[in-house]
Amino acid sequence: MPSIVEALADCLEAMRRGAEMEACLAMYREYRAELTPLLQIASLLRPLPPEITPSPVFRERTRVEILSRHEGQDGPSLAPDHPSGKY
Amino acid sequence: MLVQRAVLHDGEAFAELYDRHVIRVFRHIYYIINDPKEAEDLTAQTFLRAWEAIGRFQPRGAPFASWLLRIAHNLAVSHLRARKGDAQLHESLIDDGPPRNPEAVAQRHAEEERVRQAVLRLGDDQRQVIILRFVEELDYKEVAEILGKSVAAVRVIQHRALCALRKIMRVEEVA
Repeated sequence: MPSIVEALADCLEAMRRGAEMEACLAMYREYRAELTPLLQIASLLRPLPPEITPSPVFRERTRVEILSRHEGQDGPSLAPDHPSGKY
Repeated sequence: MLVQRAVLHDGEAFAELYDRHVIRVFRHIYYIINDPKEAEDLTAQTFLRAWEAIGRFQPRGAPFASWLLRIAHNLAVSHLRARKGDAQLHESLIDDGPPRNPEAVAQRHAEEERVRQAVLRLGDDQRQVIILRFVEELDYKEVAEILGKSVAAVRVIQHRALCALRKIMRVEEVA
């Protein structure tokens, strides 16, 4: 029997391909009670439209700024710790 | 390797990393902020901070993309806290295709917004998996590569994240 993790992953993939939630739950009757609320929450996670991207002007301007900062600096200064620090 | 060159303060290498990741970082911030101009400002800040901090990046630790997304998230959430109110709804939530029952549409938008707010309260790994899987619609293999984890680990994190979201939303309902 698949684990709840695998059942959830399978159901989410099936729903992503257009399957109805009920059809997915029918495949995993033993997990129905656990899966139902998780699939409901997942269905509320809406994808961002692909056209939401930074403008070309912004991208070029920031690229230039990054390179100019490099030319003007001796090394990193405000370096946050990694991996456990704030950043 | 690009990241290793960037760690050694190779500006061209870092600029190439910027080219590779700028859209993903922008979209991650946009999901949190809901404003394209502010998202651009914060995206620029993310890369400038990353560039300042690149000397401390450990290539053997979390992957570069994951590290960048963490910087982006922290900046965006700080910005959100500083902003007065956050009643602004995401354009994609407002534009919902053909008109349906207005009450049902409003209810759906409210629920989507509640989930979005709950996502922002997840820990780094869980939040990144949720956003990459459901907002960016990447498959498990792509998410695993970005986060430097196995596909199995991504699936486990996904399960835990959805359970955590359920818990957060239940607590909010009670409160």
